[in-house]
Amino acid sequence: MISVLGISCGPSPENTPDPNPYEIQYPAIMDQYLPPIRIPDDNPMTVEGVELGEKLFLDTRLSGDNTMSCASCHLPEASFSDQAQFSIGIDGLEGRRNAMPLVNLGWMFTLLWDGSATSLENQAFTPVVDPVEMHTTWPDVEARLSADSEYPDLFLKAFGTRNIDSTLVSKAIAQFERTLISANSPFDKFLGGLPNGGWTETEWERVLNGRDIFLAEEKGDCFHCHGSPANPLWTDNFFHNNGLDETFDDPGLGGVTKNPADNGKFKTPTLRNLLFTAPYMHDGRFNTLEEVVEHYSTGLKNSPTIDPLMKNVAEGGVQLTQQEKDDLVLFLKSLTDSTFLR
Amino acid sequence: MKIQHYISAFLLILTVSCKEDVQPVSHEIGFSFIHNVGTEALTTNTIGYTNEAGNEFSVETLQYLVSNIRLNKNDGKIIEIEGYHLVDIYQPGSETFSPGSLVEAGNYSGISFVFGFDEADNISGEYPDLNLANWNWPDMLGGGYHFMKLEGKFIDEQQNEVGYATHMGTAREISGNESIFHPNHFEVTILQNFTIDSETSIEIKMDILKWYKTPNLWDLNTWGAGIMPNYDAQVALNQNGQDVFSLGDLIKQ
Repeated sequence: MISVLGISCGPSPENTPDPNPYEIQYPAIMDQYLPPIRIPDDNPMTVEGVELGEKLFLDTRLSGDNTMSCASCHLPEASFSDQAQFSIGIDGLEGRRNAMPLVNLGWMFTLLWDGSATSLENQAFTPVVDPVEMHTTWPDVEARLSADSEYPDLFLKAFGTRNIDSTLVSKAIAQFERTLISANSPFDKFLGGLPNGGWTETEWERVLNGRDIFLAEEKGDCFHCHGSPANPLWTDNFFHNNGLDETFDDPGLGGVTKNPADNGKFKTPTLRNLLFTAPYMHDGRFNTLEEVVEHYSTGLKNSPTIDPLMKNVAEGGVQLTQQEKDDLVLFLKSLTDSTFLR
Repeated sequence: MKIQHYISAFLLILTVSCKEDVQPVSHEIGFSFIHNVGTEALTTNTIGYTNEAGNEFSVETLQYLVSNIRLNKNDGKIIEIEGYHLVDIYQPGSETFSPGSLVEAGNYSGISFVFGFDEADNISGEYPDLNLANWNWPDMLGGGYHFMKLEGKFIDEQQNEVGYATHMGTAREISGNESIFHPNHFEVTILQNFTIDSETSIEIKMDILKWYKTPNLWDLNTWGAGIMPNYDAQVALNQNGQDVFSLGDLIKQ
């Protein structure tokens, strides 16, 4: 009787060993300056969960016609960003924003250009069903994965059940995404004690000059939004109107909060691995770092919500000299971690 | 008789031990930070305030750091609350601070705290949560952390709406080719009698107008943006900040 009750009271308990905890290996610079990554209580990281998440991230069966995976727009060889201005979905439709790189996401307390996702787990639900992205349905994805010869066992090992659903898929992908830690750039190495970050002394003098322009409020004043040596995320995780337009086709954060004071504000992207993540800005309007720096130097446009930190707006910006701009760009390039690419 | 002696001795021991075990009654306290512009509660993003210099301005950002809060008892005892707290009007919950401290019941004569970090605590990169909050002050200006970011827009002399950023931290003085870094925190002391007799939240009020009032009349046309490396502006902020705080209500739970 007890046995019958046990069977009839819900999904049968599947006899499988607990998954192995995944220990995040923090690079020295992250360990020194940042708190540990916050892991949700209901999605602890496990070796099996991370492996499953990576497999799902690369799996085209998460799209309607089996042609697109997460990695199609977040290319591992491009610091998990898209080198196209706008990603093209399975129906040939174009998105309206540039795909953000997936770097050091575990510390990002805001996600996406407009802040619309509240967690990595929550974010993973959207692209699968978005008509301009992977354009399928979760029941279809669940059916395809359940029919696979490997997935049910992998979910069993990671989550203790062969019943595949969208929540577990998103949890696995989020676990994998939290492992994407990048902190091995020349500038990281310099902070760790390597002379000149491994570059030549002449180059490094210019990098340090660029760093000073980055940090000087009367020069670039980049650090108020983009971090500093003690904030190695190189983003403040907040939203700003950085003077791209006088009016907004895309309201950004304002579209989420419905507060007009937030119109034209977008999340500050990380400056890590910029050499691989062009084009730049939420709409990918700039193809080079030189264009980006020129924007802040002479190209600012005024609007009611422009950030107070944007200076000399009437004159177009901070008016850097050519040498200052060149050195600033070189400093930005020193934040490139080639070992992160896969 | 013998038994009586034993009972007396036992009662004595009991009395003594009870006296030794007596702990002062304590209650949990917290703090809430209230922000006003003159007599009005702060509202953001609209140019509707006027400072002493006549600048019409708005507030878009207000973040500041307080540390080493102390409560002064009437009997001379000082209750120290370790740590620091970053107030950010846009971060839910940051306008209240619940350190979990139990504070002795009794009569108090005032409260004090450090605005920013004192010299011993203001160490570059030392606090991971503040690094994550991008709260660092550049090493070229003396390092450590910001003490305050107060930002918004104002109407300038050409009647244009432009940004201002009143940021405070270590003050760098240039002397010849040398940079001299001056600690720029200040201690806020609010003398006001109050009683702790239950779980209590203490309101600490900031009047934003006072940052721009005395002893230095602050004109945003002069010191609007880019004041971090400006030694005179940093010193003036320190002086003007001395009276911006007052004690509000005590909310008894």
